[in-house]
Amino acid sequence: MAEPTPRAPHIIRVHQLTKSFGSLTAVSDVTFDVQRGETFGLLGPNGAGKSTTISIIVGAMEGDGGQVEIDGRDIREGASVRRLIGIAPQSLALYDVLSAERNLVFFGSLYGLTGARLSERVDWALKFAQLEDRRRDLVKTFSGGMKRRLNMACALVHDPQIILLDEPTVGVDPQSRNHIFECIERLKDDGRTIIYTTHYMEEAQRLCNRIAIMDHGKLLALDTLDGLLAEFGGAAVVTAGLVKSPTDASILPAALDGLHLRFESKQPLEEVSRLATRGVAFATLNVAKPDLESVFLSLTGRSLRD
Amino acid sequence: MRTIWLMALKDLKIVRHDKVGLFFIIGFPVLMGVLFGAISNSFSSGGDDVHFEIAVVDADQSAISQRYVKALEDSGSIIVRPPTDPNAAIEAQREQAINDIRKGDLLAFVGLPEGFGETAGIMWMEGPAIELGVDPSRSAESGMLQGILMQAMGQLVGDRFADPDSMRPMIEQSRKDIQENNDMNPAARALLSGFMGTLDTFMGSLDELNSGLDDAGEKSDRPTMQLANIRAVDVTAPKQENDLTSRIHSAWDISFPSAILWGVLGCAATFAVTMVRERSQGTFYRLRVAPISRAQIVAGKGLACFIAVICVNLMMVALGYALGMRPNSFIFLALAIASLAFCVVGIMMLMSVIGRSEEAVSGASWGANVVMAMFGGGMIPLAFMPPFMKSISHFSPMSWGVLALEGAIWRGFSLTEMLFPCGILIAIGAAGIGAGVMVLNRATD
Repeated sequence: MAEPTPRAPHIIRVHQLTKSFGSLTAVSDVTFDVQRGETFGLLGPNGAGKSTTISIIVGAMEGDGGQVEIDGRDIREGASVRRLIGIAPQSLALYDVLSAERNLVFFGSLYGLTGARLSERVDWALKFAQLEDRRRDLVKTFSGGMKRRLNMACALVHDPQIILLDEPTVGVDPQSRNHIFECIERLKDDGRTIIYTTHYMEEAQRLCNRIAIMDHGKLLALDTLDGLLAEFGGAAVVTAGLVKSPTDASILPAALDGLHLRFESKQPLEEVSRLATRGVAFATLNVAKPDLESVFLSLTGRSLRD
Repeated sequence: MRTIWLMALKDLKIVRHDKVGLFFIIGFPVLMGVLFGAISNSFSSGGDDVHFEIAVVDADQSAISQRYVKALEDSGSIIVRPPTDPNAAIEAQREQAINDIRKGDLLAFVGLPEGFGETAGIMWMEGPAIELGVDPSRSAESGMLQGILMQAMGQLVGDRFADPDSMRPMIEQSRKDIQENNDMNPAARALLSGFMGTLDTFMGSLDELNSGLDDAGEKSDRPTMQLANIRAVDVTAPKQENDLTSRIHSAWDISFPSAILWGVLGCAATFAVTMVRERSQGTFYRLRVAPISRAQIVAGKGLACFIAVICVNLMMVALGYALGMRPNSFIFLALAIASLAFCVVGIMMLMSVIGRSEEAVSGASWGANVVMAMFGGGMIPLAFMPPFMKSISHFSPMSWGVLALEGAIWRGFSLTEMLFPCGILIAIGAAGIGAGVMVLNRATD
């Protein structure tokens, strides 16, 4: 009996992708793989090329060069590949004058769902979006957060293996944002592969296994959160207020400014502990660890929110 | 095919919620068809339906005054409005009538004085003073109304001679007055007494003549008393055998093809907007990511538009039929409608790519629609266009649509004649779809 062909560890492979709009290079030589069941973050400021990359991956746009493979097949191969993917675009993509249920039925039907299976998936999607009691209401009567949730539900109604969420929390209230996070975490637990684009570093830190940082169409770095912090995050910044000046100032890692001490360290807690054992008494203590903001700053020389 | 049907069904549901679009697809063409049909009908009827509504204040309440009122009603041009309160005093009735005229509810009132019945219709006695109050803003109708009042009075004269018994007491009273009048010249007295005697004898003869005829009281061929015998003569030009308009059964035959034109143009504009809305609201992106081809997306849009055009046509044909439109051939009508629908799909596709926003597409579509309708028979029916407009109309796709519809409804086209406009419509549709898809592909790549 023939051995089954082992499945490749990656479900998405993007190789040397490029795309230009006139003189503007939106995506430049971008290469990455996404593993099965992984939540992959694409982090970058607005205009970094994240949405264009996503559009090429899902086949909504043709790249000028490079390759995209979904589960070992070219995205242009057709319907069977597209059925694997569900996308919640950054701009809401819903029919305002149809009800939530009708939107889900329509998009589910496009992916070949019919009958009981369609009804079951529509019910699941409405529950997922917490819109069961508003299922027959027109979308135009929904709040921004409800629309965002329905936008996600439309991406999931056909039960895709790969889910692309393009800035899913833009313009939503904190309550809806938390609900969206919980939904994504449930999808992660369910083993779905997720590509998540955002310009909010907190979201990438909370949700993503690996994070790719993009700017000006280029992939600047790709690693786990810890890996990125270790490589590009730099040292932690410790600021402290001392009770009194130590008798031997040479034990301090930096010069005192009155009773205020500020220094950088890759191992800040160990350094604070060492000072304490030498008799330094702290009135206040603050340790600012590096984050993705500092990673981005380190990579581009500017803030993520600029 | 399932996917295309899904797309079409979704678009039809969306258009159902578009109240403005629905008005232009359904409401506007119905209004156009009914309005222009009604106007044409009133022109073609030559004013037979003109009626004047008046009030009659009858202070006499005699058999003669009531006969006069009936004569007015029998004229066919007068509607006598009954008094609001028949038991009200005559002065109150008169005041009410004047008020109604002031408010524009009535054209006029006619006041019949007490004693009207004693002298009305008797030629040798002084006629009663009939009051006539007319709305001053309708002086043109006033003359006509006076003519009708005189006509009815003439009818009374005839009635008097038809009923000599009603005249005899008057003749007897007159003879007695003449005899008792001492101031009168004896020669004149003798002359008038002789005339009254002769008149009395004449009445007796009429009585005998009347009693010998038509006991059933029905209208007979006997000569009657008439002031004038007027016979209507048709002075319109006789219709020629080869005159195209001779095939028109009713004004609806003309107005409905033009009205249908507005409906289908409404469909083109409305569905063109749904196409661009799909792009502006982001759903086109989701459709392109879905496992369906771009051809299916376009075909779904086209099918929705096609179905809507067919529905509008069927609705208008049904309405037209109910009002009196009688198509020569329903099979040819179906052919014309299908061809027109295909053409409209092509126009819709072109309209959908002429702008990037809903406002731009909507504005440009209706601009193009007005021009196409103007030269396509939407404002002036093709049959009545001056020659230079007919020449220009060949460049409007809608003129071929109207021609195909008219060919099936009243022009009496043969199959060969039908195929010409229908072929042009299908060619325009195919060209429109091809060009639209090409531009759409270029715009969305």
